[in-house]
Amino acid sequence: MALLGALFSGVVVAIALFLLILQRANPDQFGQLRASMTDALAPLATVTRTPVDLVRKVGNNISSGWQATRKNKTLKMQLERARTRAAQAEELAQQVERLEGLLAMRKPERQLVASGAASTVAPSGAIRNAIISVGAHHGVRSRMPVIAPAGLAGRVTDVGWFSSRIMLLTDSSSRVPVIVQRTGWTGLAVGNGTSIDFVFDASPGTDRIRPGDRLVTTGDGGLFPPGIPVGVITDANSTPPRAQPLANPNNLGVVMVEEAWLPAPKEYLAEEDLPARDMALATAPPNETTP
Amino acid sequence: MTPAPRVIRYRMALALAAPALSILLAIIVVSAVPLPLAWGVIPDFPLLLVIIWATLQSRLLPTWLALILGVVADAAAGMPLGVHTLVFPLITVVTRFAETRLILRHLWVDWIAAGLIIIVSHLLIWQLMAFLLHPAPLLPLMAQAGTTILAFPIAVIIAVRIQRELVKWAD
Repeated sequence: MALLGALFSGVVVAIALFLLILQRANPDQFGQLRASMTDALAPLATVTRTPVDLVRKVGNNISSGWQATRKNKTLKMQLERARTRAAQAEELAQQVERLEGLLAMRKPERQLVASGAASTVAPSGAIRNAIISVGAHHGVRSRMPVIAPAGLAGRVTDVGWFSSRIMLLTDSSSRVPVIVQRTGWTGLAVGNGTSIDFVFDASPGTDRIRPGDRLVTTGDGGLFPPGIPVGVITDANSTPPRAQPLANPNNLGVVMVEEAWLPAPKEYLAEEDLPARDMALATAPPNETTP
Repeated sequence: MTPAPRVIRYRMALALAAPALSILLAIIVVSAVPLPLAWGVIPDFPLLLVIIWATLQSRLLPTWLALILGVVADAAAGMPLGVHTLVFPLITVVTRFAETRLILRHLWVDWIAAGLIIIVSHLLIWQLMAFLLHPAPLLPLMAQAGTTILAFPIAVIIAVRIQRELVKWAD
């Protein structure tokens, strides 16, 4: 009897191993199962988010109150400096527009698909994701970029009917092509579970990355639109340099889901169906994402 | 007044399903409730309850049920399928094996044994995530293992209370 029980347990473990290998062979498998679970969990996530947000807000208010006077002084100084820069920037922007007009450059437009509330969940230390309150019903598709008011939030991974799951920038599988605004260095923002590693391409000059440098998306790879703030360098001495996401992954609030910035290359689009396009994006060679 | 036989049967069924239901509830809570922590160091309550129920009432948490709960846990967490799907049944197998050999029964012994299982489970999760082409950093996982070990007595108290109710109901 005990032997039979052991045998049965062995069979069950074998089934688990089989599922594991099935998932490894095709990572997109079981996406529907995950998506329907998201749908089931979304109402609870939405309901519980409100009190948690309130607690966070109160905490933030208290801490910002402490630093208000000191901040006020520095902000005033920064504002003065920013004003002069803004005037210069406006002039430059006009110049760029004129030149682009001369070149008759065609720029793809960003397209909003849907916007909804995000609630970050952390059931395991192995992943970093959030549930958002919009899904296939609202036009959300897999791999679409998700943008919070403060900056890039991540990308859609599993799509349910009225909710979806997004992979956050801090997830260790997240890769975003970025550029350092000040120095112009390009590289990848790679999640490390708690923050972002900036893995940059060979540095072109003698300049160094400094804390406070901002990372913005380059638009490479065609998924994320260019110019979206991603993070700010906090530790320039570690290798690779560390950055904090500008959109706080634990408090995203309302997010926008956008269409992938560039449409997939024509040759991939055999038929006009979206799953085929998702596949095309998924199978795009990885060297496309690095400049 | 004694309850009708049908009510007794329902109560019995509910009592038998209590361990699985408590694990399911833990999965739902940890995967849907946003917690204001940056590191994801929330104790892995589903894993803890699997360990505890496999020790307390191993007949109410057979290996196949652990497999199903593992599939649910993976899907609810948005993780690739196969991580908890493998870890949960393995835990039930290991605890059953250990149960037949361990004679000493004491909270400290249980705690140490559970701690070992938790650390090994998290290392296994780490390896399985890498195998499933989703490599995860070790540090947050180990931090989670630490908080999970600290939460062990709380989970034991919850499980023992459920068990006490369960015995009352089944009678």
